[in-house]
Amino acid sequence: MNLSNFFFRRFLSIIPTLFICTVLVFFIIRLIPGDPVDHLLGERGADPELRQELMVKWGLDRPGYQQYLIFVSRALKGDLGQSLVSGRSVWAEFKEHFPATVELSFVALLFSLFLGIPLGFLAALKVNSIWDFTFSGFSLIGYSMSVFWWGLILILLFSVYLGLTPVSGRIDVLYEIKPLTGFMLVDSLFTGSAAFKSALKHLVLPVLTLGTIPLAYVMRMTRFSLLEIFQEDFVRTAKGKGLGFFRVYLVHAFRNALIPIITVTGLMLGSLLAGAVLTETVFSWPGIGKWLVQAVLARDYPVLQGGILMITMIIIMLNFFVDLLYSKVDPRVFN
Amino acid sequence: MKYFDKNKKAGEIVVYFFYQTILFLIFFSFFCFGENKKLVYCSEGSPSFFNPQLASDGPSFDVSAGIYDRLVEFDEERKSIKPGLAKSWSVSKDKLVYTFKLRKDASFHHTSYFKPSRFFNADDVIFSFERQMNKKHPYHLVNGGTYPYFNSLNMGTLIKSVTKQDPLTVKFVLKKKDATFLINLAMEFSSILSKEYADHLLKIKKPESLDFYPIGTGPFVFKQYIKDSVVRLENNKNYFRGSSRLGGMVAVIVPDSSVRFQKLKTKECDIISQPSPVDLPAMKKHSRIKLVGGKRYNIAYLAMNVEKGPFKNLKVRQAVHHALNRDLYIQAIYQGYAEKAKNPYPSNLWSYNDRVKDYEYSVEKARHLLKEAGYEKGFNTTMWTLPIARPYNPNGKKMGELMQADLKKVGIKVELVSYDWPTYISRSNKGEHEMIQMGWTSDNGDPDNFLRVLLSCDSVSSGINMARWCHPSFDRLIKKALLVVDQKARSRLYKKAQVLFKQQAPWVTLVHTYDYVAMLKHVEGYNHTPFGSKSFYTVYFKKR
Repeated sequence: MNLSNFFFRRFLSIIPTLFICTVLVFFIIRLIPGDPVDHLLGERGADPELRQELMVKWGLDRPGYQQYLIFVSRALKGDLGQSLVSGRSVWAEFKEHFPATVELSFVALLFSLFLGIPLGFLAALKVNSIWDFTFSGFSLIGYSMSVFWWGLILILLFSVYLGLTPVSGRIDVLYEIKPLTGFMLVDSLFTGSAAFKSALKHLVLPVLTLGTIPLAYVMRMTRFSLLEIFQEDFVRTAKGKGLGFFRVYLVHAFRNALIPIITVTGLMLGSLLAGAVLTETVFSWPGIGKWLVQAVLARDYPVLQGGILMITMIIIMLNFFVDLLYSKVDPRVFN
Repeated sequence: MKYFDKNKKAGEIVVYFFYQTILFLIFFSFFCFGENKKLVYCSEGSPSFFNPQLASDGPSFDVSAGIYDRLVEFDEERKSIKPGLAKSWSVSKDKLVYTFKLRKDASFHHTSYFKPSRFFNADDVIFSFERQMNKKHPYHLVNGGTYPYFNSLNMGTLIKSVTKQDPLTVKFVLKKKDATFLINLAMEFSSILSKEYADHLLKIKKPESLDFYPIGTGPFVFKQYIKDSVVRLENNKNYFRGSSRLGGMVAVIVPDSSVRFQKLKTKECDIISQPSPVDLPAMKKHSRIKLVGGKRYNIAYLAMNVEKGPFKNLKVRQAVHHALNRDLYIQAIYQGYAEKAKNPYPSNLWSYNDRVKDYEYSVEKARHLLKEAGYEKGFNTTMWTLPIARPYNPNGKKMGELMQADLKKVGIKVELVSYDWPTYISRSNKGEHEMIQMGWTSDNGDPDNFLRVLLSCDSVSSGINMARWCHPSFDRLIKKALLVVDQKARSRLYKKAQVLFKQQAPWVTLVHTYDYVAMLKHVEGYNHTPFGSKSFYTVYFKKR
């Protein structure tokens, strides 16, 4: 199978994936009792006539399959509908929240890779040493940590006691940043270096919180994968041929150990994008996870349908990208 | 010599300009860095609308309270009514016609998205009420059109018409007498919007923007909203009462209460909303923080569905009341920051009947009553516990567990049930529950808003009467009280109604909570209201 064939097959598989995802989200959210009107009015209840008017206005009085077809036909034209809670277009809200999550996830991922790979490498090299036990122990703790608790501990330590970082938010509120790209690190640059510094400082704790579990995972994965590769014949041969440390471990062994790390990284970025909700709540980070959870609680059907459709598409794209990386690291994958 | 004089003159000019510059800098720095600093308010959630007509959540009211004005306003203690956008008013003898004389100097906000061409007038008042009451109005269904407070207080069925007598006089005609009408006009949902702006939005086919890009007459002008992040308001320099002493306001959205507390400690916030009861003792001890607040017009209660099983029996309901140790809940759930409830509304509300005898905590009495009711061995039942924190009950599940343990002592085996919030509301409105935790915060500070809304026979059919308790004598009393204008006479009727309510025990009245905001000590001028809504117009920073 060549590369273009592989991508063509993957492209075809997008259609059923998107179909299944949208159908599942569409019908599961409607199976839960309660509707957007109940949420809007709370203890105050709704006049039955008004309830009916709103259901008609929002198209919720139609049979489920009709609502689904309307959603799909509009989505194909690029219209994801309007939020029932805020009245704004789902696309506009998505554009507002998505860059915040991408920025946070991406920096957290970089943090976990840049720290996790060298530490994992060191643990594998010095297997069963004090280094190995220390790093493996820390990674186990990091992996089992409750994000909510960890975030609050970091706030207490770094913000309240040491006064080094701000408690939460994306930038000091006194900087009025125009959301040009939605990425605070980029937008703050247009305001000045002080604003950029503030944005950077605000990233530290959320990144530490969100990046701890991936860091532990990458570290364990690197260690495990390298230990396996070290047992392979080609590594022994390379050593026997008298190649230097750099060529044996970094060029031959590490390159072969990269495949599972890349797989894990791709999967992690997907889960970071969709699952940073706890970190977003602790640090008041206006991201996509919190946006979707609020939509579930408010039964904001269009936001859920549109938001999950967009995330599904992005995760599929990410998987494409990971496949592309495979071909660079190990061309045999496609043979 | 002449040359010397010239130089001297030049020197004087330089010195003069030097002093002028210093004076200017002092003056400038006073405005930029002194008193007129921006207030950073850390709020618990995102506003759902920038229009209080549509909102029912605290964050929406907190922000929009400063953007709009009403025809009449509450005084600082919210005990009487004072002029707002109406400078005076008169009421007809039959109490059915209210005529308001309007101010001519109130101007709507000039913003980047709209520049008004005229001052506030009667058209704006008519528009603001017509939108809510007239189902054919082009704005009625825009952005959901739920108008929770307007509908909850039955304003649509009360108001017959709103008409313009002249550009600065407007007349409300009512279908029936209602002693609470004027109070309702001071509520946030009676805010006045700009008709000119609404017409402009219709013309450009963007009517939805009316509730998200607000134009009001209030002390703060909307500048920017970044969803789930920040709301920026500027000072309205043309405000008819004089501009605020703040340089503007920034509302930062921080959903977690412990994070809000940390932000207050690090001075990232000047004021925070809804501090967690767990943090209150630490806040009281903190050297830079103060708490402002007090009793709130609310109630947390446990309703027993009188249409179901054992709860049809009065003695069972009274037994449940005796069996629950409410003092324990006040300590365990509210950390002591609540008052045990005896009546459906708190003691700081007029007409509160202190003579009502409460059901004291007594396992013996509860057992005795159950025996008399024929349930000596107890019975099995279910209790719905609140799935989310509400201002009147921060932890429904924990309270449910304590109640479960208390009721077990008298032989009532309770299964705790919980659904998510929309399901909880939808199913309880249909009366599917046996016992349910619920609560209420007053819309307008009138006893009618507790008794009629929550306990009348009409509210059984609408679903809000969670006990589904309809008592003809009680109903007669509260309906009669609504038609009486004299407060003393009304008070007598409500006191009788409270006695009847307590005797019939459709609810276990649990607590009335205290409501606080925490702020840095140099923040001054904040007035607490028992409704929970916040006004920042009078806030300023004390010089340090």
